[in-house]
Parts: sequence; structure tokens; C-alpha cells
Amino acid sequence: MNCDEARGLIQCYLDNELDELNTLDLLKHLEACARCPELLDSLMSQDRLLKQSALAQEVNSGPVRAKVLTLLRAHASQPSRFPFHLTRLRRFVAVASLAAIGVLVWLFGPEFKSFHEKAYAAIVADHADHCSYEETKDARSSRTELDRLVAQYGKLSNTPDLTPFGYDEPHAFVCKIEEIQYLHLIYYRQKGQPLSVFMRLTDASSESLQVALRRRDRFVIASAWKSGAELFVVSSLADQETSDIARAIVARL
Amino acid sequence: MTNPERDPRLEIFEREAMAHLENLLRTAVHLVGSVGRAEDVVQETFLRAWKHFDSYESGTNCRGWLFRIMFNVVHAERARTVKLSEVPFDESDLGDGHLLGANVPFTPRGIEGRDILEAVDKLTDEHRAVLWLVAVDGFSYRESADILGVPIGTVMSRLHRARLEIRRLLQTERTG
Repeated sequence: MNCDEARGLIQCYLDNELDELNTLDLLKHLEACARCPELLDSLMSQDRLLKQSALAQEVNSGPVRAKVLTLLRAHASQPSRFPFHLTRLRRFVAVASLAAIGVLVWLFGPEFKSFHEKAYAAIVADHADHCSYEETKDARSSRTELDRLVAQYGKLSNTPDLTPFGYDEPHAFVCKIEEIQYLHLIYYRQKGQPLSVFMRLTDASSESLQVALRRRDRFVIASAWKSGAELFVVSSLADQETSDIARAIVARL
Repeated sequence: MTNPERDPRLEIFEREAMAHLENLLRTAVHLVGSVGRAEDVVQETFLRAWKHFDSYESGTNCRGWLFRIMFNVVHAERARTVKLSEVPFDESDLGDGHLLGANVPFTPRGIEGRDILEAVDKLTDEHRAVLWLVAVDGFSYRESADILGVPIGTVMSRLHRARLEIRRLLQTERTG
């Protein structure tokens, strides 16, 4: 692990959100590194100072507590607006409605239950959040680090080259989508919006190249998988161009 | 008529929910910027919580449930008030450090508690909320995402930017 990757994990470590394996890797790096421990210490000091200062602030909760209790007791003393049997009827209707919706979803909407629906929303949010051009346009990861990460997360021998599509070298970091770690590559170009590639290894195996397109907000998502690896390409480009880029990457898996 | 002093539901509510009132009030002060408004928010939060107490399962994460209600109250209040006082957030103001520590590490020596609280109050509503939930109230990323109604990735990126912005503000404070 090098410093760039360690810095990508330090926040999760600081917040007790890092899994055991990455924690061990990070601690190993921190033992050997001269700069990263200083960064971790400074962030811990910052958080500690914030928490101590926040908790040291005096809050007089007495008046609002008394007011809330008075209101609640007055509310609780009022007879229910509905007779008991009607309340039970409303509960029965609510439960029956939920059951009916559940059956309908089970019968007609299996895609709504898919993990991927949540993942699509999350990766678009992540893409939109991270891909502010002004903020990150000068950020680039080293070639060695890129190649190591794409090998780990996509079994690729080297980083996908999108220069034929007009994109520069990407910037990489590891992120969590729905509790699953992905490698997030952000590609930039001189004109136009950035493009994101999310990749990870998966148990699903398919020797044939498969690409699916969908739109969310103003973005196109091409999801593609092959040979135990899955990736999402998120862009503001046309459907066909996004699909071509996804196919170009997956073809090398 | 039910005797309010002996209402078992109210007793449970007082035991499980009211125990978090001070925690909510402390957070609300920093969410809305004044003690008076924070008290109104907390009062409305508990009234709503009581109204929907039937949907709460005793012994589950009551604090998270109350915080989710409180953020809904705050959002509703903000939606009612014209947002004339809100300055559009310019991402380019954040500087060029993308990964944590891309700039020279900064240890907040000589920085006092009130400096960091003032810096927190200068953050955007979204960044302040997530930083407070995770760093002060100790919620996990998943709990914070549920409370705020956003994906976990958004919690992580907002948290990252909030911490960078705090560092930048404290550095400015120290050098300026």
C-alpha cells in the first residue's frame, strides 16, 4: 500500500468503518510511513477537539423538556379521535395494503428488489459528487498505483486507456457502494464532463460480454460484466458512446 | 379517559425517547443556528415522534429514529422559509486537495474549541450535518445515510469535504 491509497482509507479508519483486512494493511503502512501517521494524528486531533468542544457546550434542556412533557401529557389525556374498533380497522387495512403491494412487487417487479437499483442511484450520486471538474481536474494517480488497483479490482493487466475517446489518465480511489468496495476511476478531458468507471471482482461468472444501458438523472450508466468482474461506466455522453467505452474496457477482461 | 400520569405508552416514550432530548437539542443548535429555533425544532420532533410512536419498535435504535424525524423537521422548516440567506456553495472554494492530506498535514495546535465550532458553523448545511452526525454524535455511515436519506457514498464524500473545509478554515484562522 502506498500513501495515496492509505489516505483514501484513513477517513474510514478514523470513523471505525474500515474492514479488518484493510485495517491491517493500513496499520502496516502507518508503521513504515513517515507522513501518513502525522495526517492521521492531525485528523484525530481535529475530530477530538470538535467532539470535546461540542460536548462541553452547556445546553439548557430543562425548559424545552418541561414544555414537551406538558404537551405530551395533554395530548395523551385526550380521548382518541377514533373508536378502538376503527383504529384496529385502519391497522388491518394498512397491513392488508402492504401485503397486496408486496405480492404485486413479487409478481411484477423483481427488478425493484435488485441490489443494483440501489447501487445505480448510489454510483450516480458518487459520480456527481466526486466529479466536480473544478475540484479534481488536476488530480491524477500514479501509473504504478493505477495498474496495481485495476489488477486488484478488475483483474486487468493495466489501466484502461480511454485516450481514443479523448480522455486523459484517470484519478483513482477506493469507495464503498452499498457496503461493497469498488475501485472508482475518474477520467477527465479538456472539454466536457468527466467519466467514471467503477469496478470490482464478483462471484458471478460469464464468459460472454454483456452490457446493459440505463439512464438516471442526466447520466448514462453502462453496466458490464464478464469473467468474474463487474463494472459501471457513468457519463454524460450519448448512450452509444458510453456503451462503446464499457465494451472497450470489458473486452480486455 | 386515560390518566396521563399512568399512561404506559407515555412512560415508555419518556424512558426511551426523552432520554435523548439533550443530545438532539445540542445538535439542533448547530443545525439551525439559534437556541430558540433549536428548541422549536426539538419540540416539534418529539410531538411528531409521539404521534408516530406506534410505528416505533421498543428496544430498536430510538436515537437514530429521533434524529431522522428531527432532520425531516429541519428540512420542512427550511422548505417553508425563503432561502434568501443561503449562499450558493462553490465547490472550487474547497481547494485542490482531493485525498485527505493532499496538502501538508495540519495539527490544530493553538486552536481552541470555539474556533473549531465557529468553523463548523461556517460549513454548508449538508456538510455540517454529516460531520456532526459522525464526528460528534457517533453515528455510523449507514445510520447517517438513513437519517439524512442519502446514499452512503454521499455521506463519505460530504464528510471528506467537511473535514477538508474545517482544516482550511482553521488554517486561515491561524495564518490570517
